[in-house]
Amino acid sequence: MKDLAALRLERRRRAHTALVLLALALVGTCAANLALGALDIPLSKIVAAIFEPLGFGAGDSLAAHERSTLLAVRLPRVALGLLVGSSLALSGAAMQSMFRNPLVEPGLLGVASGAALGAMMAIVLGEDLASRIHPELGRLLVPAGAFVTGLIAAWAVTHLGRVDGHTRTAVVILAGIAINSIAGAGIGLLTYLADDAQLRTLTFWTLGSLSGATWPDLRVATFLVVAGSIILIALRHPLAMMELGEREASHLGVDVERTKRVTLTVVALLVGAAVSLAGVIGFVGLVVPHLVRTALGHDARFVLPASLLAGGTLLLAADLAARTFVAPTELPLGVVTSAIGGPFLFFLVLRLRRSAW
Amino acid sequence: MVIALENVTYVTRAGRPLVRGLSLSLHPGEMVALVGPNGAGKSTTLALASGDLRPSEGRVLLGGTDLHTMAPALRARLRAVVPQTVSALPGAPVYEVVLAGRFARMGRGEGAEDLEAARAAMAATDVLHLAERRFDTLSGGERQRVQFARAHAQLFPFDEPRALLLDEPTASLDLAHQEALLSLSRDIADRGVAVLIVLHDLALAARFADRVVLIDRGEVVACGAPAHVMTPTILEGVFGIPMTLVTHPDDGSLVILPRRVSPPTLRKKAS
Repeated sequence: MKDLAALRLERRRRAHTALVLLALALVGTCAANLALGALDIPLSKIVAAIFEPLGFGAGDSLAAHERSTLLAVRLPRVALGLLVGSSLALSGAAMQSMFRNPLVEPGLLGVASGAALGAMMAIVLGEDLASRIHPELGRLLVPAGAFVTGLIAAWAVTHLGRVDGHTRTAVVILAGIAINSIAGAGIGLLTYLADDAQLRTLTFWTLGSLSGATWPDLRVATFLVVAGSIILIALRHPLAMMELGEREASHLGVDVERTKRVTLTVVALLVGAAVSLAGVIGFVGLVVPHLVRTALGHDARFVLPASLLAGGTLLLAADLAARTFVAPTELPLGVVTSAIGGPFLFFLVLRLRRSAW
Repeated sequence: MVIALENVTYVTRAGRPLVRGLSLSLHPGEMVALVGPNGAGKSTTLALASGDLRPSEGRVLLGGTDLHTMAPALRARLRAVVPQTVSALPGAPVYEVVLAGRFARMGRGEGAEDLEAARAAMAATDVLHLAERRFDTLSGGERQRVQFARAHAQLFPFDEPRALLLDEPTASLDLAHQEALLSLSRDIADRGVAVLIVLHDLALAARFADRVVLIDRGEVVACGAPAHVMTPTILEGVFGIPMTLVTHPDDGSLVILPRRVSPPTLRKKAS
């Protein structure tokens, strides 16, 4: 037998290689998203523009219209895609470990639609009022609403899913369906109450899009997503143990209750932030961790950081498709991700029929 | 005293008492077997001792401190549990499963001692040759040994009073593996660990344990050296069938032989 230390090192090196490759893919996708679109900007100019402020003035510089497209439209859009994709994928990966269930994701459990309900309530009922008091308050109200109702949904699904101290998967999923339908009713009611201008915002929301990205919105979200991601990644060791089951994790020394509480709160925060900025974008939280598991294995210690990187890549790739397939118009992003995610779920179900996961 | 259950009662949410006023304490280096008929409360008692269940009344002490006021990581350094069923990450290699036993000590990454603990545990349980195999491709007996190795790694290096709790670990094992697993438990007890083990097989309990605790309907019926607890009168009273006890011709341990009974006798006991 090989030395244990060597085995571990080899395993870790393989995982690190995979993470580096994923990071490179992410950088590549970001570059493609910055360069391609209605106006193609040469990559050399983008690189030059990025390095210019750092004192590396190089040949090609951007024309004025290229500069404004890059800085005011594409760059915030890429940043938003990164934030939303990575938070949804990381949330999905963390929840799958926590519930020991491959079908769990923030959308299916009602966390995303719960968050959407809160955000819409803020839009329809409160934003005008809050903005009149202070413009920043109006800006904060939507993410805050999304977070609070997302947290309520996350809490409800966890508590409903617990029977005699054990989390029952079937009950969790049923609870998610119940929450989704309650949120759906609320969203329907708000749609009925909304005026024309609000209605346009709501439609944009339920379909999901990255086109609303502006720098001031991104400030708060960036902070939330970075902080939340750090916390979830730090929890990767106890979450890996949770995949053995709550009882065994507790035998091994995991503070099960605390891990669950922190995970759910952070997931609600991340999903709330993502939903409040980009609307409901389905399946990223399901598809990305699965692709990662297929490639890297089930160890949460690698699945979590890898999902973070792959989530941004997948969402940006989907957004690029949404922007370019039917140019000059644009497909709603949620439509694209669902079109990828639906068949993928089918594939998963077919595979599940053959394995015991 | 490593583990002490003090006057512990456990009532289910439906109001059914599974364990009633049970007291039990284990000293370092002692192996205690919990025996009794189906539904007597053996596994519930073990779950109370491990901290899986919280007693409705009374308290459980681990190293002199109330189990439920203790941080989970500290608790895991003082006691390891081998459950009835075994689970592991799909696709995880055996050495990762064993290293999981070091979770409470590793923190961020494993050190030399953790790797040494895992290696020693796999050597002791004879699974070193399986280290790189995927856990989910192993046979039932091999899995049980790996699970035991994990608990072994968790208790390593046996330098302070610790406890090992096993819930019917022999249920899915053939005779040879039963013997091997109980010898291993005995060996761990001899290193100063307090071992509490739920057993169905009375003869195994008689051969390996220092003390036997006989439980029926959530209460201790008899407790003491195997020869004192396992008398025909006591066993017949609990199991409801006549028994003959003989001594093993080789090592002089007790062998319990149930006598054939007609079905109505069993039914009378159940009612």
